[in-house]
Amino acid sequence: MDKDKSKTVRAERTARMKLSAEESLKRMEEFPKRKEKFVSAIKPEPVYHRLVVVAEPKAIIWLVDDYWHPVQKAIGTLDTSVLRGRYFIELGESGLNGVAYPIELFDDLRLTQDLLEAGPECLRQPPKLLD
Amino acid sequence: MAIPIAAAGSTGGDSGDRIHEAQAALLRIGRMRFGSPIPEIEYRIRSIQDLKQLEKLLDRLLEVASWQDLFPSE
Repeated sequence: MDKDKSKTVRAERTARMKLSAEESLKRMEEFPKRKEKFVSAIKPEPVYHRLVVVAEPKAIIWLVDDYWHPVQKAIGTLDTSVLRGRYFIELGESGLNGVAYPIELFDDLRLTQDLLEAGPECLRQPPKLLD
Repeated sequence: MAIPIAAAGSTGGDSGDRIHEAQAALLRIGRMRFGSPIPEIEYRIRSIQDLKQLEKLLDRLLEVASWQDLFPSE
């Protein structure tokens, strides 16, 4: 039984070794296409979550990404859908030069101005360069 | 209000770098909200070489609801 198995393995290996130069070249040329197909098959789908921020009716709400680039602006209520990840919310008419409230968006999230102001805060940073 | 993105601003670099940076910011921020753009829109963004125009698009991106809204049919 084991002998048969080893014979099969040996036979496969021999067949692979017998690939002609043309066949090897063809396989090498096909490799990038096969790699692309494989990578796209394992690449995760982007996940979006709904984010609602309710502030005072005239408050300007800024959604800022983790590179400190503004992503979206709304007045009174921000109701959007964005990729999961880390963001900052800034409030106020001057906007973008004061206090920022960090949020982690890993599920749908609804926040009020009171909740934001009661949570952690940090000072706005200058925008980072993208790679 | 002018958006103080890195592309617009204070981090230095020559004009070509800033244009490239603004294009990258537009695509990155747009993807966060609307998903990947269709190839025509990506090509259109990458072919804009006017920094002012890119900055205007970045401002508009904050308020539009889709990639198509960013480039209304002319």
